[in-house]
Amino acid sequence: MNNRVARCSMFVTPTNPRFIDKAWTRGGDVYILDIEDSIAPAEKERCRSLIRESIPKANQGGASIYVRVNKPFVDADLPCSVWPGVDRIMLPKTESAAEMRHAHEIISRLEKERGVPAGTIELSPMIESALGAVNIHEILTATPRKIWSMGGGGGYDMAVNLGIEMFANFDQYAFPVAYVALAAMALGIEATGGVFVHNASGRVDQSEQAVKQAVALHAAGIHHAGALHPAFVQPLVSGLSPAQDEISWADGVIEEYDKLTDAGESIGMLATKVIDKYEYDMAERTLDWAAACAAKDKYKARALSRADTGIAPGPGETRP
Amino acid sequence: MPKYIRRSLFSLPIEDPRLGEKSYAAWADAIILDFVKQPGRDWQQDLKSRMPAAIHEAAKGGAEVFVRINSDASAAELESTVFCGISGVVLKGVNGPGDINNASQCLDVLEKSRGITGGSLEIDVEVNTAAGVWNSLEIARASQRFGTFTVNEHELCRNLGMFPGPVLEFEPLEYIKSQLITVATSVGGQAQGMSYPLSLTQENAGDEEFGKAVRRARDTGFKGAVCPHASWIKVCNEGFRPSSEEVSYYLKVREVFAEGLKRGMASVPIDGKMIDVPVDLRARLYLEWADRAQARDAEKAQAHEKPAA
Amino acid sequence: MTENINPRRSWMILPAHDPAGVMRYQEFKPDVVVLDLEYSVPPKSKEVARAGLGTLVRKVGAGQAEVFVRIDRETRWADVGAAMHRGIKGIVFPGPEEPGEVAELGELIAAMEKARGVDPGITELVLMLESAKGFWNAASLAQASPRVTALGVGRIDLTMRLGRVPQGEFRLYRFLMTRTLVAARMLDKQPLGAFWRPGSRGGVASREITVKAAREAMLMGFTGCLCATAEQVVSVNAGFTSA
Repeated sequence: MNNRVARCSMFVTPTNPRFIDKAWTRGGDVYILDIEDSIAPAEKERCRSLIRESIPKANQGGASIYVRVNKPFVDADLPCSVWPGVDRIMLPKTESAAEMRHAHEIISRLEKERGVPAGTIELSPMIESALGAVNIHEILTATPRKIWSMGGGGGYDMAVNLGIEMFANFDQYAFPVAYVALAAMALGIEATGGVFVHNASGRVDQSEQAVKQAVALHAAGIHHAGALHPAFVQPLVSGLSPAQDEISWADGVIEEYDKLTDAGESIGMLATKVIDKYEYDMAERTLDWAAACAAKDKYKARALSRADTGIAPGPGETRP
Repeated sequence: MPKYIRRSLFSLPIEDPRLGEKSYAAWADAIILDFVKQPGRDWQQDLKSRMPAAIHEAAKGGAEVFVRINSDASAAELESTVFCGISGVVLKGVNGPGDINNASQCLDVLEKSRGITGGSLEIDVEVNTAAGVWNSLEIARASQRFGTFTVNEHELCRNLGMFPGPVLEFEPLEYIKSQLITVATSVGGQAQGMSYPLSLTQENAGDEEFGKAVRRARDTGFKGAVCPHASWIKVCNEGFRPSSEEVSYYLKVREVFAEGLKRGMASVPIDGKMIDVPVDLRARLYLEWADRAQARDAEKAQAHEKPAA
Repeated sequence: MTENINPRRSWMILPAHDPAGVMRYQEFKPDVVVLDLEYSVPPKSKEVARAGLGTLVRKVGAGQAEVFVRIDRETRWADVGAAMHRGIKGIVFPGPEEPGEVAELGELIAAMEKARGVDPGITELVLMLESAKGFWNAASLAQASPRVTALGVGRIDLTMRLGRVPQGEFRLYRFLMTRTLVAARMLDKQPLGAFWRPGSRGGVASREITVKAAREAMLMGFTGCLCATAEQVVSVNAGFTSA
């Protein structure tokens, strides 16, 4: 399962047929079936019952499927959410190792019961409160399940928790975001991190803001983002993929550095830029990311053409 | 949602002969009493005899009263200064949870012997050392008595070797202040402080400029500020709370959402923004905050109905 | 450390495989000479560099400059062995991650002090943090050996692949500087680092940029940094000297 390529993820509401039926056409890498904040309390039960059938609807375009459960209803939500085809469970407002262990145990049992290979389904704690931020290390080390850290210490709920208004013209989450990012990096855990991009209007439907966000994330070396609006999906997917000139440059660096190594050297030059082990490392990562994006794009293209022609995947066909 | 309505904290020395008058005139939410240990005198006996009256004077404007204590002499200082009428103590020079535990144990004993409700005295931490910053989480978790963090910026700068003036275009203490706000919030407490550069210049500022600085402090998560001048107090009292515009807006939010619910809708628009359960919850929290701030003002107004004796 | 009147503002990195190049340090008057076995020494010259350290350490040490040797984390045991000679002031350890590594190196240094006739306990350890794990463990690393006298921010834009953020800084840079400063000051170690910004990679930083990076770090509480090039020494000394 290639979950690494999540250039753009988007929440979808399973209770809204218009939305759930069309979502896959937007070209996102990930769709998140939501049982949490976009679903009214009175609708949650119905939503649970719709998760399983929403999976094949939402993944027609080759996207990975996550499910966002409710913190207070984890025991009710997980049995409706753990199915073949689900790649990750998102756990909102995670604050402790105990919460992670609890979710992990339930998921493990359900994987067994439902024929999902043990440990396949990833678990993502979402840090949306000060307590979650300060407990980040225990949270990320709580279970042996593959972890991807999401909701890195900023956002709406964090604002409510801290008692602040969002969209002031400075980085209001300086410490919690940085501290969570450091913990994830120290543990080798991939994370969706944010960078502060000044959003003067506070509106979430401006695709201009999406482009700004994509450019800022890419420059900061972050390759994952959430789209709050379908209009954001394409700008984020392309903005967070490596451009051809980046790939060509990386090829050049690798070639040059290999020559250096052969000669017992470690520092050289390529077109006025210093080439050393750091540039080499960056180049390898660029090519690695490019290959992963290409594989994901290919997979999505195949899925799209199957969706058009109505041909089901073959028995041996696995996801990249 | 702040644990305490403590928008303005004002320090006064107990030796000040006009202590009562100044407290009454200040309209601060909290008065922090400082004391001097006179060399060559039995300072403990001195303090013991003066404190109850000083506390009474400091409370004249309706403020909560605190006393500022040094961690390394906490047992002796607490014994000499903790009497009925204070809400808690502000501890300086805190380097780790041990300092909190020591103070808390002293307070356990003093509450019993001085007729103060057990466990009621708060411990607030005035951070002024690198260790206080590094160990902030353990410090905040050390006791149920923990209430708030404030930062003594000049002393902290000295301890860190940082230049204590607003020369840099960015705030050098930015991550430290954000950390203290985050840690305090994580234990259900809060932090008080001012935004840069006013937090370092500590000068008197014109209302508009100062209003912006308070707003920025509030947007960072601070729930009040320590006021080096009485002139800061009014703007802090007004600024560290939802404004009247925000209150009107949140009332509208609650009204529109309730209407929507009656009609079976879980999400309603106001000016292009979707109002749903989390937004309504936030509105409720802010309105509660506004109500509590108003109630605090009413309390202080009542305290001012009688003239300062 | 308190009786040391050397302000240790500029730590000049010099490739140990080039003795003639090293001896020109006197033109630039750095506060500290760091004989490098790491980045500036190509693989083909590592053996030569190690072999010549004995002579170099004694020569530079005799000339009143404080001499440190920067080891390569990957080959730290061999490098410490090569570095420990009379005249050495300390070892610069880039990229420590776990306290055990620091404690172990401290013990290796002790054994070598004995073997080479260096005064016991005199050799310092300077830790340059260069990985997320290192920053996470900053305080416990600095406490792992009594030899640690300085804690610094390394070449983290490179080693941690910190990208750029719209405000014109490296992502996480100021947070990591703050974290290092607090740990260092708490434990009474010299905080090393400069506020480098995007566009000033490695040795291409101009004089103005270097002075600014050093000065801003100084205002934040740091008191010195490593100099990748000779030209940076003057600027770093200037930046870390308060007006």
